[in-house]
Amino acid sequence: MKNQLFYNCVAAKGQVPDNYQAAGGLSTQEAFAVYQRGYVARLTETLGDTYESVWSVLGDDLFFEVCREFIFLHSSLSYNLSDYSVKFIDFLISHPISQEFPFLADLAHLGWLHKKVFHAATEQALAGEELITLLGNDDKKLMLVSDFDVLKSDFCLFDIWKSLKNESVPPEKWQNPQCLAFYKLDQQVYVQQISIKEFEFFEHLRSGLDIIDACECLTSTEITSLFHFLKTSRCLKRYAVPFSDAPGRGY
Amino acid sequence: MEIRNFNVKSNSKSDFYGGVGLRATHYPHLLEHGAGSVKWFEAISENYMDSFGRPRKILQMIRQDFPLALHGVSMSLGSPEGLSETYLARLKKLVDEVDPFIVSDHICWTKLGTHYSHDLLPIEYTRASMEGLVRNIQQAQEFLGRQILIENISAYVQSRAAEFTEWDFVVQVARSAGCKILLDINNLYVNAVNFNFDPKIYLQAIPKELIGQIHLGGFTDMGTYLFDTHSKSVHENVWKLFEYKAKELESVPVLIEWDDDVPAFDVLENELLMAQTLWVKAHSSKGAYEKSALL
Repeated sequence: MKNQLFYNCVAAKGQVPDNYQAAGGLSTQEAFAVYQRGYVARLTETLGDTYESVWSVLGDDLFFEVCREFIFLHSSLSYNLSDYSVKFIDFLISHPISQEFPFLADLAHLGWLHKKVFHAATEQALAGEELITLLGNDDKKLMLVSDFDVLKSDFCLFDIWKSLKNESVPPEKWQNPQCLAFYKLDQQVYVQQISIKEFEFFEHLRSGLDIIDACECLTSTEITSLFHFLKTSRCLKRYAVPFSDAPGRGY
Repeated sequence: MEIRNFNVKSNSKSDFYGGVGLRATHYPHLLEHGAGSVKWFEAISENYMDSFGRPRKILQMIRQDFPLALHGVSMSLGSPEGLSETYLARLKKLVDEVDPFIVSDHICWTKLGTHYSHDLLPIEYTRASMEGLVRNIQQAQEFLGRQILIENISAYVQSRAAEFTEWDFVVQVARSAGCKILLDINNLYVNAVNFNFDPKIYLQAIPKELIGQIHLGGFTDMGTYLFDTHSKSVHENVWKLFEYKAKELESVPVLIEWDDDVPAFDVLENELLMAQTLWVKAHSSKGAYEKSALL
């Protein structure tokens, strides 16, 4: 009975339970439809908040239609509405709409990372001088702070996103790979274009290389530019052994 | 188990203690102009439990100057499988951090297995549901180490298998679980119209000592039913019911709840002013009310 009630409230699935009295002058089916509309509206609203740029590209009608398709395929699995749903990115990759807008999934990914960085805790990052001092130490292993992330796209994603944000003319040619960094200063999220080599530097750090090894493919000019960005974005912290890898965690 | 009871600091038992829901759209106003006559805020727990960015910072800032209530929408107290310990642990972390004077959730269920409805689904007013609900409230209170408040919801379907009226169910649950009631007079009125009962009977059935907080909000008249949208001013019939119940209440925090089409902050302040006016009016004629009740 509970299953029947639940699925009728979220998706009009299954037979409408007959042992329920409907509100006011509604039929039972109409009363359950009140819940169904509410469910779709709430999830659409949260998708719209997270993937605002995708919404701007598709416009209201198409975006709402794509959301409806997604919502009926993917239920919400978290008490936190804001967690719904990272799967939208993969959904867009395989959706026919991506043939018309091939950058759409990357734009969605941008939205997801923006939200992730916004809600992430601000960690104690290394200031510029500390970073320079650390380079003289034996242990040069660093980690990215949790309110930082990077994204690589086959499209000129930064230009597309900026034009949508500023409501200006979008770029005519999309096929121009771009990389982006997301960082937070004073609770404000910044999105900045970075070079492919800088993107690779962050990926190397993430894979466990120390800062010197991660810089190996960069020229001295590129390293200067990178260090300027590292100081501005305050995205590095001292390496700490993840709790799960700590010695003595074998029990 | 030691349960911490909330305590409203007030000069007089009949002082009005008015608050509004904390909404992101009002952050700039609050930072620039302050909160005016608003004495406390209610924050939706889930909006802050998993956020460690700006929303949490704002919440901490607000808490430095104001008492705070945490109001949940996803604890799913009516779930027969019990409560999520992950949810409770995250809520407890937030509770420990901001030290709210009230922690509340709804008399409803919101999840089935791993699936969430993000809506407040009605539970059957049966003995079996009551036992599960009481167990879950006690679990929440044990985990959080404090008393919680449970709110009556508005509904669009109601089980015909009910063994209790809604009001008897709510009172018995609160008594059995040792919690208090967050009485939403708008929800009560919406249900009274939608399911055709006298709202005053409901109000009379709720003992004043069980009421820990009042919610006032607005609904939308859809023609064939009332829809609890929280997107309008409080309806005049809801004001009347509030005034009716206010006469017997002492030092109960009153909140204006507005979730959709959230207006400018001063609109909420005006609603609160109306609530205060009715509260003061109700208490100034309290002697007469008590006398008439005896006759």
